Amino acid sequence: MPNTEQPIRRTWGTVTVGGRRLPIRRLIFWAGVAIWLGNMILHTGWYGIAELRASLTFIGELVLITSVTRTITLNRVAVFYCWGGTVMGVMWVISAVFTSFVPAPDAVSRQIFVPFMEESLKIAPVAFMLWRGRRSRSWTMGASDIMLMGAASGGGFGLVEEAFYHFHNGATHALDWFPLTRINGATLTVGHATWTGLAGATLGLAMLWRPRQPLTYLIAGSGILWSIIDHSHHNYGVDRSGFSVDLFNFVTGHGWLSLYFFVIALICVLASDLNVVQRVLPPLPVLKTPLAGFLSSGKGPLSIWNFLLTKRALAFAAFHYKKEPPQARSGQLDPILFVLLQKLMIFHDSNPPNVQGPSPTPARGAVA
Amino acid sequence: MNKLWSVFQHRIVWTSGAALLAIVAVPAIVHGASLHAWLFDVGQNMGADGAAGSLGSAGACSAGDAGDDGGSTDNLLDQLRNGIWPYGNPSDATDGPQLKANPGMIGAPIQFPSDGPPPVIFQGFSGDTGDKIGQAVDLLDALKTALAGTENEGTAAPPEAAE
Repeated sequence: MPNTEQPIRRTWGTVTVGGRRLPIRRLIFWAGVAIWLGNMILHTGWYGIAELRASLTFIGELVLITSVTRTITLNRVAVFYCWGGTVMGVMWVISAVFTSFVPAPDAVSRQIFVPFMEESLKIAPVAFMLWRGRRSRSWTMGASDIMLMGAASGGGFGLVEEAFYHFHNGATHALDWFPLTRINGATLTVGHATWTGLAGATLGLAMLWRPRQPLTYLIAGSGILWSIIDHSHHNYGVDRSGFSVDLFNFVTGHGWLSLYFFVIALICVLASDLNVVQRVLPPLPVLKTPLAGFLSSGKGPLSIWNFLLTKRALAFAAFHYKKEPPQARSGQLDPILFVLLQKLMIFHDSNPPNVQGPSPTPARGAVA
Repeated sequence: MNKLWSVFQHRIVWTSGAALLAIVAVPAIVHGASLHAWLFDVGQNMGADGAAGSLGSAGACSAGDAGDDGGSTDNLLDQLRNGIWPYGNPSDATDGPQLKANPGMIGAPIQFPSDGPPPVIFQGFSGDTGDKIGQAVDLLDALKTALAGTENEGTAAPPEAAE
């Protein structure tokens, strides 16, 4: 059993500031955020602050809505928001290289290439995380987790770009509950966060339900494919007219279809995850939230929340356990279920067992 | 392909499709002429001064989860990904099927691969640890049994006596 008081992760060390020890990792995180946002606000002023507020409001709404199903913490959401800002810089470099080959800003190739690259880069951190955790964490995630990480990455990506856009072109109107949208007559632009949120939602649904091929690939890729189409629709339509633009407008419903798809995907994601969270786990005593024990301690609400996140993670792993073949069950899911069950036991147990290694008592000998 | 085609045999699919098309068509009919669209192209919407800020966000995300002090579920599963059992380092960490046969492997302290070979385990752990490991293994068995039950019968079995 782990000793939760003692970090079991390799840390970057600590520094002492004013008699208080602060993890260097945390300092670097906040310093990086300060440089990123500070640079934006320095260049765009109030437009940057307004864009930051709109972006955080939208992500906050999603965080709130998915509170009943998600397993990821706000810290993880924040990291993906930063990832979005990082891949924005990568995209800027790619764009500069592309410009050196195709200087014309309105080249058709650019208006197809840029949306494809931007949408791919935004979802790339999520895809990387899922690939990295393919033998562990990915099995414990719901569709809402993946959607939320996608939206956060998209929000971080679009933050600086849209701040600069508004700085140069002025403020725009947005829908009430979607502060990152822009309305121009009949045209609606949902923005980076919604596009990547949609891509994450369909990817999450495919990973949760894992239908037979090729349906699973179709569902997983449908969100990002649509996002690329709608994104291309916007870029292609700038200073153009004629049949091709009208066709793009028709196919994308002047951008409104993205909003409908996003809302539909969000409902599907929540319904799917709620179904798993509420129905999969059997009524084991260890899965009952020990409210009395938690509330008697100083960290009561936080402990309850951590307990619920771990329990949900167990529900998603158990859901996959039911559907996967025996090889995946024993090779990958057994250890995950075990780790999560032990974690839940720690929550229940006010007196965790000794984890400091062998005790000075004589060895018990090998256990077969 | 047949399965895909069978989807279109249902009236609800055609009705939904027609409704969706109608929704899409409304703005297209109202605004037949093309409208100004917003450009989404970081290469054109901002200069190097704006993109430079991403160095800060790169630093932030490389620092990772600022609030994770090592005890989170994420961190435990992350160690599992690296072949490190959060509750000990068995000689064959990826060998799931041996979990029940070898529950004592969960009792050893954390051992990173760079720390050298795993320590000799199952030696001299307190009885409390052994009890807890046994309880967790029992819980895992109860959970798996219940899941197998719901798989076959469609309802959750109530293994109340698991703990």
